[in-house]
Formats: sequence, structure tokens, C-alpha cells
Amino acid sequence: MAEVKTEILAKYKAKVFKSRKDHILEVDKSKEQIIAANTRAIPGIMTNRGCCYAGCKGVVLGPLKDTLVLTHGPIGCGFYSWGTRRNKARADADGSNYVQYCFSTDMQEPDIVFGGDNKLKKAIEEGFKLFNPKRIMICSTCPVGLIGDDIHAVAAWAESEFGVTCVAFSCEGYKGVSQSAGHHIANNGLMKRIIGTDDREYPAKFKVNLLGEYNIGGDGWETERILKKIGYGVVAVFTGDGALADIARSHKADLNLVQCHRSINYVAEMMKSAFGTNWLKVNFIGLKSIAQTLRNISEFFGDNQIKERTEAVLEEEMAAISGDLAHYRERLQGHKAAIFVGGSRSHHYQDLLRDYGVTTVLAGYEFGHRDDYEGRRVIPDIKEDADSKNIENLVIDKDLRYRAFLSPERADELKNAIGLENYEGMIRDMEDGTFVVDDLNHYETEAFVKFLKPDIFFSGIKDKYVIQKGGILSRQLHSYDYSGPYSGFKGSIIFGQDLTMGLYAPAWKLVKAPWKQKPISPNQEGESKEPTNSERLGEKDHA
Amino acid sequence: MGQRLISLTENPCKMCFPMGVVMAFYGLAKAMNLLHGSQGCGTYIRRHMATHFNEPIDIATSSLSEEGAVFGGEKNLVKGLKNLIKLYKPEIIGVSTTCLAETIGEDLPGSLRKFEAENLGLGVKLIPVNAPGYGGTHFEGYWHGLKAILAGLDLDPRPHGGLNVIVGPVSPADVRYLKDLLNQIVPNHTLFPDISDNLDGAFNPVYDRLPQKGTAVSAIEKMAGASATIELSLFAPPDESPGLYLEKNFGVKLIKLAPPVGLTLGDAFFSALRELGFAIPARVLEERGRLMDAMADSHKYAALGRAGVFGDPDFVHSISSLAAENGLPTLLAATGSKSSAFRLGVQRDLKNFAILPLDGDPVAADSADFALIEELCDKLKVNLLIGSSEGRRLAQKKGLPLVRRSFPIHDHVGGQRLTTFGYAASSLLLDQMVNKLISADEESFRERLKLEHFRPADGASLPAGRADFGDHGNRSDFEDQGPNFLAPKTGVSQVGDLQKWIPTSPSSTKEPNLAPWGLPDGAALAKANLETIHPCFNLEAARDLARIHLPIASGCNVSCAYCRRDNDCPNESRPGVTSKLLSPQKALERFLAAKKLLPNLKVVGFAGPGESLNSPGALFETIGLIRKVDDKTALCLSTNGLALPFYASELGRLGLRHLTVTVNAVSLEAAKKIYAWADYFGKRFTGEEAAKLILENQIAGVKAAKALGLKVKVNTVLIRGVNDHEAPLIAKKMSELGADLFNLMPHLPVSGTPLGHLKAPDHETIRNLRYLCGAHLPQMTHCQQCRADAAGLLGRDLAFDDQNGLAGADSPGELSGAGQDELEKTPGFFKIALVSKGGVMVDSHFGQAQRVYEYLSNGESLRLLGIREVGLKGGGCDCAMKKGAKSQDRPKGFIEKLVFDLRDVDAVVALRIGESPKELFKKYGIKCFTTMDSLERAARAAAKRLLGDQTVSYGAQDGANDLALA
Repeated sequence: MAEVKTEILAKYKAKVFKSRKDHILEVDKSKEQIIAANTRAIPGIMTNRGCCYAGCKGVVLGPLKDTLVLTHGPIGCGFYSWGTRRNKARADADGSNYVQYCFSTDMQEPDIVFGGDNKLKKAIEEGFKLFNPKRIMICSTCPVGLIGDDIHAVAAWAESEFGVTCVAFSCEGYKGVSQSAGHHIANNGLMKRIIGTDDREYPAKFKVNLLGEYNIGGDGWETERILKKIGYGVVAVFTGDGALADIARSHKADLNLVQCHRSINYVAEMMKSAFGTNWLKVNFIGLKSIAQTLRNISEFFGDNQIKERTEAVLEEEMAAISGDLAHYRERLQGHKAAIFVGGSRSHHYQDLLRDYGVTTVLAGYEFGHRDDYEGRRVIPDIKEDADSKNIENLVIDKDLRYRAFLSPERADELKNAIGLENYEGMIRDMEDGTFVVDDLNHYETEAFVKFLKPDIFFSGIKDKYVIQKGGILSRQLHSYDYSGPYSGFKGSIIFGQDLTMGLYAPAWKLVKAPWKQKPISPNQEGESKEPTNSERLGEKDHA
Repeated sequence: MGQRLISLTENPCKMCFPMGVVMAFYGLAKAMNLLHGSQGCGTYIRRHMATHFNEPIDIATSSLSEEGAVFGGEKNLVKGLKNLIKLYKPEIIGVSTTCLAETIGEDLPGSLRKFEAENLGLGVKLIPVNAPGYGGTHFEGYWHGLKAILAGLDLDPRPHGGLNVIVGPVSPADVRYLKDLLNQIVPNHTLFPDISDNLDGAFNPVYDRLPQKGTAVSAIEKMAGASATIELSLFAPPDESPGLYLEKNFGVKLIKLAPPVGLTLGDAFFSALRELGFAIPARVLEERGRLMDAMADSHKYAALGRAGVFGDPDFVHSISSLAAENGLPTLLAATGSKSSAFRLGVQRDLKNFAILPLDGDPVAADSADFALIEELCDKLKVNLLIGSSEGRRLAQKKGLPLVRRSFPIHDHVGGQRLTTFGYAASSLLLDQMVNKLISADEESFRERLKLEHFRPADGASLPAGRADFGDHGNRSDFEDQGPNFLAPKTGVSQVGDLQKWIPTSPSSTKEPNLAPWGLPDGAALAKANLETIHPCFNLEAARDLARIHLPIASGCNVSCAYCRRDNDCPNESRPGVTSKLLSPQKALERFLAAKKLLPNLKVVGFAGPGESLNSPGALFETIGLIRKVDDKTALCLSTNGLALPFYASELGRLGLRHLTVTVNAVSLEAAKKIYAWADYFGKRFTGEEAAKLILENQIAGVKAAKALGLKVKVNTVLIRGVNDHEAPLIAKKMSELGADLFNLMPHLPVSGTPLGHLKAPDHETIRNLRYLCGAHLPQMTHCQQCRADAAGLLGRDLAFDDQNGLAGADSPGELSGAGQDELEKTPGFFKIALVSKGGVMVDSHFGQAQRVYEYLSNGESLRLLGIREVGLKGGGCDCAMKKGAKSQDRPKGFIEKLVFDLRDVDAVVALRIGESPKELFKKYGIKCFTTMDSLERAARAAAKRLLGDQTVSYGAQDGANDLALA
């Protein structure tokens, strides 16, 4: 298959070839393989990446329901990040839910010329009068950093003026190389200003936080359901259906469960340094992963009762879905999938696909770092570049409230046994001969589809229509195409059902008009030379 | 319109400038877009366009990073262009700036000239477009893009006699309509731009990265030689109008027309084509005939509508025109663009469109966000929304139907296929709008009928525990509403339904003062003053205005765990207690008796002891009887809210202006602990079902009451450990529903009730919670938790005996059992007359007395015997007189008469008393005291002094004044 890579790269100009070749690799686990990641996107080749603001406001802060998130900038950025990620949220205890709202200062030309500080202040004042929020987060867009509006000073002013918690995030779009920079900035802000500001104990014996779960389509709810059923107390969720009020006392948890490693590992690491909170990479997508995850968590707490309960819940939940699982597995196995999503999902969903007997032939991250591909052990080797240096790396000191849940011996033991504080990356779980591509662009998407002929392509909205107009099933893994949840036991079945529904839709068999399918005379225009995937599907169905 | 946000945009109704530019270029053949700036702009715009058009959207970006932002972005721009050209081979590229490139001051045209000079023979046309995100909305961006295309190409001015048709940012399906039409009737034309295929392509396994269809560059270059341009936009900013550009620079005649939506605008379009010499196909006339026929079909319903249209200026204007042609008035036309032409022009048109007198002036608003749109929808009573899917939140929140058109449609598939152009599409759209109105009407008409026509006949008191209309033979009419109505198990949808029909049903929006009795004297008891006359709603009023509760309601339809109703108890002072129940006739008598005794009686209330709306027959009959003899006293009602959604409208019609709803919970958990069961439509619900039902109906009821303009007070019985944590939530929820006042009442544990064992919440808790609740609603802090037969001033209730009228007191130290006459004869009891204006303090000079309060006291116990309205202003006193009041103003013999009237009392207490009345009283052996103290304390003190206790002096301890013998 090595020729695939060569052929795809052949189309590029020399410079592009040079920079793209290191982002594409064919998995060969006998070798130590290095992939280039988190480098600047090449201009003009239709990257799928978003910006720093999208990572900070869109991903991490957007789902918070008890916070008025105010975009300081022209109208577009606020509008485009309004309700597009399908983060679900219930109103919290005091009834507030800001998730349905979009707030913007809608900067105009005079604000750019004369500065937007005053408009920002007035907007906060109006927002405060109207909604009386307890917390306000300000997110800046490109022009703000350039014209020098001091949003942090405005935040300080708002705190003293209105007695609210107000945190400013300098997440101008041009910072970093992708959304990833925005995640880091948001993580820093939460760590500096929110985490550890409420010392009330959380009334549960086994306390965990769920990190990097954004509750797309209700994923977080299913995950929480399982955790609570076993007997864990979930102190805070970062940040799907999340509240800063909960995050304020997240340091009261004993263990951080990290679902999306890319977007939230900073918080996990910083909380370990400051409060001694251990963290564990988990995956609630895919049935085998869930079982492993739940057993790892119970092992961490080392309590026999919770271990027994874990097994009982696993048994009960699996029994409840086994019929559906077998039904969909029968229809799905043998298919091939390609996955190209943001930071961690491309790895997570391979586990779920494996449950259904679907192999993943291509996987890539839009904005992952090398550690997301190769595992955390490569972090010391990652060279800092101009772009990563621009993002503040907080130096975290031990907090007075630091407490170690495990003895040093036990901690060491668990590092090996359950991979505490470690993430092994995606490549390790992939088959030899499959492809890993970082920051896949439009051209490469088409080329790989042509060569690898996947039956299902998981992506975001921007690639979706190219795929499905090609007769290949497309499922969005950013927003689930209005479906979900896909996490947990129940979500697994919804996922299986969605794929089956998509692959077996009768319309795929009607793509060609009948008079075009069977030429009347050999001279007439007829069948295209290459059968489309939909037609192959049709054949499979008949067989 | 209320206080507007100036600096904060809440839920925008517009997108950014570059979005429009990109769309303009998508209508060109073999064109690509490159956004010079941060890559997020391209990604966000691609994402939004892809979701609407359901097509792949490719927008390249120069991916500027911090380095580019600091040192300039030309390097990235050049790289981006080179890669784009190599990979996509476009013929034309729209290179647009963004906020970032504009703010750092990139010289885009210069960079592109340099690039072209260095890369000769690339065969690609580069069009520079200055597109800062803050340069306007996507609407202006679109026109700016089109003009930039014309300005950036070498146009060929050689005349060829063709026609240009320039189209605004509309759906690909609309463009396709124009394209088919022009292909058929105008041989030489350029449709600019043409997104019909590029943004709505056919299923095609072979994906072409470069959009192949659309207006060719060669065709655009010929636009300067056309004989005329039709520009289908009235609101394109003149500076950005491509048609005007062609007219100014190349003399191509410009015909500005609105988009061809509906009859008037469609006719204008086809007439213009006809005048230009093109034959209109017979098909068009047939379609016009069908639209006319569609209008004939729907004109009967259209006038029910009050449309709110939002979106781009031309869209809003043309849709309003279509609606108006069939008698569907647009009350609100809103655009996110800043356009005074729209604001003024459309405002004028909306008024001209109206064929019937409108309730309220229509509004055209520019620079609108959804916060403003929501506010105006409320104000203008909009009942139909037409616009993009961004209106879905508003539609959901307000229960309004939304007809989706324009860009973006993000929650439905097929946004690219929605169409408005031409007579055929207009017919479909009109049908859709009218059908929404028909559905809304159809789904609610049974309820309206019931509320309007099937309320119980006057005087028909029905057995408690049953819905009243059951006996009127029309019950079956409601049963076929199905379980949705009678057995509300699926709570959410039911509340939705209730909420939907109550506020919007025309009967309930009727002004309550159209009631047969009208409001007292028209404006005499002006609405503005209503607030001040109700002692519960107004602390000031509570000082000197009295109310009476008429105990007519016996049974209750809800079982509350803290409540025990007592219908024959004269002693306990708490809600749910009365000495006896009254029939409507008896209630009228008591009302009249009270009125005689209490000249300050302003409010008659119904507060139990059961649920007032559980005996609607008795209630409405009583109200009817009272209204026949009195139309001044305000009506008030206290309810648990279960039946409120069904009677709110009737109550409003009867002229009720104040309402108290007891809402003890908003969560099911708390509600389950408080409510054991609920009787609803003849069926008993228990447990969670009951709780859900009660909560939902309370919400729907309060909403309905507020829709009628009633003042609503919410009572919450605060029960330790049951609902104390959710009091602020209740206040918040009620505030959202529009309630006016919140009254947190401490739970009075009553033995024999399920919650009787609990301790009453302490004062501190109540105070703290009131503080928290105060964030949402004003707090009533002077509640006395009255009995169901209370009468008089708050906290100084009189008790009635139906034989003797006023019979006893219900205040601390009351004397129960003994009749008045008996007491008067009891040694040690004295009758004390106290002069007071406000009813709280001894606060008047005797000579200026307006009211005299007569108490019976032995120095400990106390009973108010009555209040004597002296009613005359003016001085009678020869000591310090009120400024301006001269002694000659007083009626002759006023003092003498007053003293004579008071001759049977034992003592008189006033703030000051003149020499002459003192002398007169002396003749009767009546002692006069002066003080400034509360009536009760002063009365007790006077009694003690009469008993010979000279040491009465409590001033020092509790801040009262000494009583002095005058």
C-alpha cells in the first residue's frame, strides 16, 4: 500500500510535498513511527481546522450553562459558534441555562479604530442588568488583540463593579495553529480562576470528575448514568452540561477521568500538580473500552464493593443490549471505515467500530498533537515552535490543599496496571497497513477515498457532502447529524442503528436511472467504468 | 419599545460581511474563494453554508498565525494562492480580507498586483475584496462582492442589446426559477450571479472540486454592453449596487425591482419584462391564475395572522407584500442589517398593506437582534413567524409557528430547495403560512368555545370535586380531546398545548374591562391605581384600606400536606379556616354589612377555606351578585392554580384584577411531598401524576392570567426541609411567567396534617430566602396569613356574626365566646375611642379626626368594636391647627356632634385635643388622653389608666410614647 502515499503526494508542489509527507504514515508497528502534527496548516489547501477562538469559546467554554459567555468582536464569530456543536444542557439548580444564547459586542468600524473597551464594558453592564449572571466569560476575536483592548482589565472592572466572577480569555483566532491553542487557553483560565475556589466537600465516597466530555447529543448524560449507577459521585463535568459552580469544587474529587485527551489534558496535569488529583484516560465509546474503563476506575479506588458493583452493572447493561448488538453487528461487520475528526474521537470510535466488526482503514486528527498519535511518552521530544510558545504554559505549584489519594507505591503499581496518568495514543491500537493522516485536507480526503474505498466515512460537516455525494455513507462525529448519544451502552446501540439505517437505505440502490443502467445499444452511453460504493453495497446486499 | 440594548447583541439576526462575499462568488463558474486571515473564518463560513445548502463548500484561507499578524501576511497569501491555483485550477478567485487582515492593514490590491506580476500567465483572474467582518452584515457583503467582481474584471462595453438580471442572496431554487424563465423568454441575458447548481447540485459520485456551473466570467464581462439591467433588490446599499455601477460607468439602464414574490411584486417583474419587449409565456399566466385561486382559498383565514418576518431586507419586504395581498398583516418586519431605507420604507408599506384596522401600529426595525424581535413580537402580538431557522429558539419559547425560509436553515434539511420566487412558489408559501394559522386555530378552538360559551350558568352551584361543565351536556365535547386532555400523563406536551392556546386565544386577549359591568366608573379606578388599592399588593394601602374574604368555597381539589380546612372555627388565625361557610346570597349580605362598617373597604377576595375555583358556580354567582350592587370594590381571588387555566379568561371577563396563586414547588420531588392527590376532571390523580398535573396547570394558569393583564401574586408556603431549597427557583420561574409579587409564607404546622410534626421555619431563614427570591420578584413582607373569612385591615381583622354583623375580633388577646353586649357590661372592660387617619397609629388631632376606632379593653385583652367614619376634613380644634385649615371651615357643630356620638365611650385618645372638646367630654365623664402610639397599645394603656394604674409607662422599653391625661 506504500504506493498510495506516494501517489497522493505526487500531486503536490515540492514545498507542500515536503511538509505534508511527514503527516501521513502507513502503520507498521514493528517500527518506531513518528508523525508530524500540530504544525501550521498550509495556506490554500482547504484545511478543515478552525481557529483558537473556536477551541476556547466554541469547544471548552461554550457548553457551560451557568455562564454568560460574551464574544468581544465583530458579529460573525459569535454567530458561527452559536449552538452549532449540539452541546446539550439542562438548566442548573438556580435555573440558569445560557447555552441557547449568543452574546456579542458586534464591534463596528469605529470600535476598531477607537478601541472597543468601552463597548465591552457597556455590553457587560447591559448583560448584567438583563440576566444578572453570576459568572461572565469574555472571549476575544482577532481584531481585539491587534487593537489592544485590555479585556483582562475590563474583567477586573466587572468583578468589582458587579460582584460577579468575570474571566477574560485572549483567544484571538490567529493564535496557535488550530483550535488546540484555544483549548489550552481555556484550560489555563479555568485552572487560574475557577478550579479550587469552592471548598465544600462533595458528599460521595468515590468522587470523580469527567474531563473532556462535551455532552454532544447527550453523550455525557449516558456516561454519568453509568458512573452513578455503579456508585460514583461525579463532582464536575468539563464542560458538557457543565457548570462553573461545580468546576469550582472539582478539586474535591479523587480521580479525573479524561475522555478527550487533546482538549483537556492540561487541566488534568495541572490539577495533579496543584491538588494531587490523579487522572486516568478513559473511553466511554465502545463496549470493550467501557468495560476496561470501568474496571480501571474500580481498580483505582481498590474497593471490593465497587468492584463487585462494576461487574454487576456491566453484566446487567450488556444483557440489556445484547440482542440489538447482535442484530446490528450482523449487518455491519466486514465494512470498512475512515475517521477524520478533531482531537480524540478518531481514536475512540475505532473501539466502537471494532465491536461491530468494522475495520478502520484510515484515521486522522484535525488538530491532534504527536502525543495523541504516539502516546504521552513523546512529549519530552516535541520541539517547541513559535506557535506553541505563544500559548502560556502555567507553572503550577503545590496547593496547600494538595492531598495524595494513593500511596507512592500504589501509584507506581497503578501506572502499569491501569495506565494511570498516561495515554498511549491512537497508533498503538491500529492495524498494520492502515493509514494515519494528520490534518487531512480536501484533496487528500478524495484521494484516500478513491484508494482505500471505505464504506463509511466519519467526519465533520465540511467533508460530509463530498463523501455522501460520492455514494459513501457519511456520519458526522462532531454533531452526530442530529442523533446521539453514542457513548455508553445505550449510545452504542444508537450508533449501530444509525450506521445500519444509513448503509441499507433503499435509495442507494436507485442511484442510476434504469434507462441509463441498461444501454439499449452498445453504442449508447451507459454504465460508468468504475462501480460506485453504493453499487458495491447493493451487490453485497443481494449476495 | 422598552429599554434597548445598545452595546450588547443578544442572539444576532445577521452574519458577517465576508459570508456575503463568499456567497456572491459561489454564483460564478470556476471560481474559488480565498479568505485572507485566520483560518477560523473560512472554517466557520464553510460550516454554516454546508449545513444550509447541503453541499460541499470549499473556501481556502491564508491561515494567518500570530507571526503573520505581527509581521504581515503577504507570505501566507502568496503561498495560499499558489496552492489553490495548483490544486483547483480556478478561472477566477475572490480574495477577501477579514477582520484580521483589515486590522493589521494589509494592502490586498497591492499584494495581488505584485503576485500577478511575478506569476504571469497563470490564467486566473484575482479579484481583491475588502471584507472586514465589521464592515456590515452578510447582506451588504454580498452586494459588495458583486460590485467588486464587476470592478475587478475588464468589462467589455460594446453594446449587444442583452439583458442583465442581478439577483440578491436568495435560495438556489429561486435562482433556478429565474434561470429557467430567462432561458425560455430572453435569448440574450446574463443572470448574475447564478448559485442554482453550485449550491444545489445533483447527486454525483464524481465530485468536482471546482464549481463548474454559475455565471461565466466571459458573460459577466459582457454585462457592460447590455441594454438594461434588472436588479432584484430594493435595499442593496446604493454604494454597493452592481446595477448602479453598470449604469454610472457604462450607461446600462437600471431597473430596480423587488424580488418577484406574490402578485404585486411578481406582476411588476413580468410587466417590466413585457415592457422590455419579451413575451410572457402562457404558463406564467396560468401560474398567476393558480396563485389567485390559492388566495381565494385562503383569504378567509389569512386575516387571523399577525406576522413577524425577519431576515434580509428584500426578503422581509417581499414576504410582507405577499402576506398583505391576502389580508395577512405583517406587524413586525425586522432585519439585522442597518438600513434606514428599510426602516422607513417598509414601515410605510406595512401600514399601506393593512386592509383592516390593526390593533397596534406595525413596526419595521433594522439592526435588530432576536432580543428585540422577541420584545416586539410580544408587544405586537405576533402569532406567525417567517424567517430563517435562527428564529426557532424564539418560536419554541413563545409557542409560535415558524415558516422557514431564507438563510440559514440549520435545523431542517433542504434549506437550498426552499423557494419564494414566482407565482407558483408564492402559492405554496402562502398556503404554508395560512395553514399554520388554521392549525393553531383548529387546535385551540374547543378550548375557546368552552371558555366563551360553556361556563356555568349564573347561580348554578355545582357539587365540589367535579369540573363544572360536566352537567351542561357538553362534556363529551371535551372528552374527544383524548387522553391528552383528560388524563395528562405526557406532561410536557400537555403544558405546551395549554400554554399555546391560552395566551393566544382571542377571547383571552380581550380587555377585561369589556366585562358587562365594566370597570368602576371607567377610568375612576384607573388601572394605574389598581395596584395601590389592594392591601396585599401594596404596603401603603395595607395601612388604611380594608378587604374582606368571603368564605364560600368548601371543598378542595388538591390535598396539601400542610393544610387542614376548618369550616366552623372562630379561633385559629390561619388560612383555610372560617367560622362558617356562606352561600352566595349570605356572602352578598356579609359583603354589604362589611361595606357599611368599613368605609375603607376596597377589595373583596375569595380565599377559601377550600379552593375557590373548585366551586366555580358559587364563585361566579357571588361575584355576579356583588357586581349587581357594587361595581367599585375590586375583586380578588386566591387559588391553588389547578383549575386556573380553565377559568382565567372568565375571571378576567368578570373584571377580576388581582389573583393569588399558591405555588409551593417547581420540582416534582418537592411537589410529590406536598401534594397527595389532585381531583381533575372527575378523576383523582395521585403521586407523581398529581404533582406533575398541579405544577403544569399552575404554570399555564399564571401565564394565562398574565396574558389577561391580571396582577398576580404568588404565595409559597415555606416548609422546612421540603421546599425551602427551591423557593428562589419558584420565584425565578414565576418571574419568568410574569408574576408581580412573591409572598413567602412560613409554614404554620397544624396538628393532624401530614406535615404537622415539622417545625415552622425560623425568621432568619425566611428573611434570607426573601432576599434570594428578591432577585427575581418583589417580596410581600406584610402578609398576615389571613383566615378565609377575614375582614378589615390586614392584621386587624374583624369577625362577623351574620346576625349582628360585626361580632368579634381576631387579633392577639382576642376574647372568644363572649358577645359584645355582655362584655360591655363586664366590669373592668372599657370602651376606648381612638382617633386615627391611617388605622395604625393614634395620629390625628381630635378636631381633625377622620376616623375613630372603638376598642374594648381591660388593659390586657382587646377587641375592635368598629370604625366610625367621621369623614370631615378641617380643624375643630383651637390648638395647633393644620396649616391652611381655618376654624371657620369646619361645619357648624362638628365638634359637638362628634362628642355626642362618642358619649358612650369611657375614654378618648388623640394626638392632641383642644380645650372645648375636652370640656364637652368632661361633662359626660369621659377621660381624654393624648399620645402617639399604636392603636392597640394606646387602647390597652388607656384601659389600664382607667383601672387606676397610674404607672402605665411602657414608652421607654418598646419605643412607644407615654399616655398623658389631657
